Amino acid sequence: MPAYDDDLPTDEEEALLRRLTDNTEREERFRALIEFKNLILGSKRCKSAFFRVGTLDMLYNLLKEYSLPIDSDILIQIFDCISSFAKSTNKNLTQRLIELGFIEQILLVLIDDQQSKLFYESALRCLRSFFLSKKFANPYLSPIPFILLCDQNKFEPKSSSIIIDKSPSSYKLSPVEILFSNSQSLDILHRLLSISKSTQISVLEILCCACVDNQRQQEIMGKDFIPMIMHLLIENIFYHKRIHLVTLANEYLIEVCLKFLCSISYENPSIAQQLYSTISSETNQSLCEIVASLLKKINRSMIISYYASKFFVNLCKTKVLSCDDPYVSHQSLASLIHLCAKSNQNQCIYLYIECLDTLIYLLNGNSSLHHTAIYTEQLLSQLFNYLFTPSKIFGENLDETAIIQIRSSALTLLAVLSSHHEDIKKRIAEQENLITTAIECYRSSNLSLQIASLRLFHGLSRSVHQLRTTFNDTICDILLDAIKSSDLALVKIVSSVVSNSVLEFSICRTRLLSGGILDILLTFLTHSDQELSINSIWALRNLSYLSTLKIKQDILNGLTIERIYSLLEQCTDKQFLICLLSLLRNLFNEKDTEILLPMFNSTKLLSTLERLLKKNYPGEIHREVNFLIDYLHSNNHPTQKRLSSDSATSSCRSSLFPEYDCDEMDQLDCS
Amino acid sequence: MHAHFAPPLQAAVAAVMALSNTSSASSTSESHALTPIHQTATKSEWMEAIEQQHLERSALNRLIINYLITEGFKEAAEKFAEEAGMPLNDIDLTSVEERLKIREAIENGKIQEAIDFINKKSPELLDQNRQLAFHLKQQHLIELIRSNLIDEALTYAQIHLAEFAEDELKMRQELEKTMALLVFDKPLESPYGYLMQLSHRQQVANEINSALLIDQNEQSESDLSMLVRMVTYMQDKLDNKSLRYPKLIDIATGKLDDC
Repeated sequence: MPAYDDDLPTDEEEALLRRLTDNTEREERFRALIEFKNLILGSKRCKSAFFRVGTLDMLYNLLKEYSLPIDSDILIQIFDCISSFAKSTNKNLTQRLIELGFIEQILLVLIDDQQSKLFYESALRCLRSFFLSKKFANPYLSPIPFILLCDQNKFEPKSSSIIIDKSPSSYKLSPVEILFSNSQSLDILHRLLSISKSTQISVLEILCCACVDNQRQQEIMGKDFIPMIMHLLIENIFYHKRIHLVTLANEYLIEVCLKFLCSISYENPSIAQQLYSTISSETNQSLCEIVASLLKKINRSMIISYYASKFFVNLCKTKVLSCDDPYVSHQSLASLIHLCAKSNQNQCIYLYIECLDTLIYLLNGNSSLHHTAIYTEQLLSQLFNYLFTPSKIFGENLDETAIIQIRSSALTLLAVLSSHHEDIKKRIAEQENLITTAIECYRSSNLSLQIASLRLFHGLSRSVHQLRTTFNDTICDILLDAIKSSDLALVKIVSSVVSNSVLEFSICRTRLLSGGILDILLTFLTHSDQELSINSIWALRNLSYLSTLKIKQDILNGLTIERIYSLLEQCTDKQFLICLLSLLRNLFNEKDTEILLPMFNSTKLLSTLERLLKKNYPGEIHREVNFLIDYLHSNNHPTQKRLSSDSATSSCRSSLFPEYDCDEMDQLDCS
Repeated sequence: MHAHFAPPLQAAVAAVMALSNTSSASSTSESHALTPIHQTATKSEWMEAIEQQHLERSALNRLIINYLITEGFKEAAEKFAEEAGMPLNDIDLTSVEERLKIREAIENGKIQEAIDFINKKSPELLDQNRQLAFHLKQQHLIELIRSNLIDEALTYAQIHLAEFAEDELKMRQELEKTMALLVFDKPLESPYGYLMQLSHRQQVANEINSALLIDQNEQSESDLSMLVRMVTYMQDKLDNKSLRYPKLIDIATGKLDDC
């Protein structure tokens, strides 16, 4: 905490405050406000000191006093002061601003449509300050601070206690919630878009922050902002045919427009579709064409390149564009890779981090783009640089947090790239120092690096070759350590790695078993986290495949017959059930059936399975059940030929994440 | 305004590129001590090539107006525009005047007045740009030292500048240098005397002017200064390739080297 946080106003500053409160003469107050503003603008100490003596309450009273009727000159000064306070990183201060009701009061005065341009610009700048991130990562990116989307808290869970009671101790509404609680807010913002470039920027930044979930996105979409956004984009892009040069009259405004398009389309298929279908009435171009034209410009700013690319990524992830659409595969992907690869010292590292994260988002689940992404080695080479020697790229004085973030994003992207194609896995795994570095990242004290390293191991574990070669004792020990972590996110990822690493051909298997992995997996079966419990039954299933009798008995002893029956009868999770049925099929491998089946009471098992058939489960479960029933029948009647297991093997092959088709795993014969 | 000045910029570049392309040296060759020096053109050929680049008078006039507007010389711009018969309709002269007032206040040492003007024009600037806020306040401290108001200077530094020193090492170092001026009987002659020079006021004024232009989404640098930088850059490129050409040796007079 800075030393000045304890400061109180000086005598002169106290005298100024008295002039504001005691003196009711308008001109004197106006002058005092200007002096007050000149003190606090650019000074964290002053803001902190004034806050400690309750100045915010005084400002709120002044705001109310001069709102009815509106005294625009005085209000402009008050707005500028509040805007400065709202930029503070002091959480108590900003919370107090919200508690007092400044946002509501500003929205109230904005209803008046008879005021000057300066009035609206000042009010909106003030409002914007409530929404924008206080700590943004943009020291070098652009001369005017540009708030990256990664600095905003996107799609965070809403506060569990939304209390309308406005008493200070319980007021917990966020600025976004306050904005939407006023039914006129969006109409007011829409009306103010046409005032000036400054109001356009402020309104769009507020709307970007307001796109916190699908519901809010829909509400904003419903107010017809898109035609205006398109008009702003067209108005600000000039194309000089003669000199083949495009100039951007207002780059900042274009950047904010693009950021808004990204925010509103994020994870929202219906809005993404609407945007895709939108045509400009001015130029007859689609919105995609307009955005794509920005990607073709020479001398375009990095922010424009990034957000234009991200827009198409969002359309792809919402399935509006396929991943082989040229907007995605040729333009967006190429731009993002180019941005990542052209890092310079003193450029904003956080934009590179956001580029990497966007590539992770795009390439995760779109394996058909992986080969395109690494076609020129440019991306891979830069990722290795980011991972191994980030300070050589960004300088020695880089913030430690930034270094960790870029390393973890680079490692995660490598993990995504190595999650599918065998040749890419091989290329990545064979990079000198990569596995050592990944191990070192796990051993660091930073959670994001640990998770990133485990993700890499998970990607590599989806390869038979890698399980046979790369997963040495050191990695096994890491898995055994990570599975005991208290961090759930970490445990979930490592459980995915373990579920592949316990396969019969994995060199890790023995060490994991001797390290007690079976007991750990058994305890996870009843974990409250659904993904973890599915991973653990998956792992048990894989463990049982082509396993020795001893291991199968250990599984059964740990699981217990009663529990298996209980799960078969009562489990409603379809993925869990499929894995359990596959586990049983693996257990009843021909040579072990005579020993294991009597533990079950085959009649009871048969009747349980037949009851399962009567339930309304998906075809895959019925196929597994039928296979088992068939097996039990044939076991009781050895002369009967078993049915082909082809239909059942698909479930053996399918991955936990349906979008990943693991070529190597498909070769396993699970019959 | 920026778009209007693309042609002169292009012409300047074209002149240099046209001449470098006539060189017999490969454009990809690296400079090497043993590489023979290649002549691109004689001075007369060079001048002829430049003459062939058609530059309209109006383009040159726009270049000058752009410089005057960017640097904040409103009256000079108005006068020039009147004499050249050029309208200034699309230029916000109020904004130019405001920037000029700010520049004049800083160059006259009236920093608090400058802060007042800046906050009126761009209320978010000093909150968004901490370095700018620091430099302004540092300059005010320098003015207090210049006026020999030592107690005021000490109080001012404690109240208004200490927070910057706490936040950033570079600012702390700058503040230490400024405070060191108090130790000397003749601060102007001290190792940190450059802070007391009037040129330091100009430096701060330029920094503020640039920031204000960017904040208003205008060019932070005039086309003319960008052209000058481009010529310097091009000449460095030609020098690195060991090419002989009539080098522009005096930008002020346009004097070319004989080659």
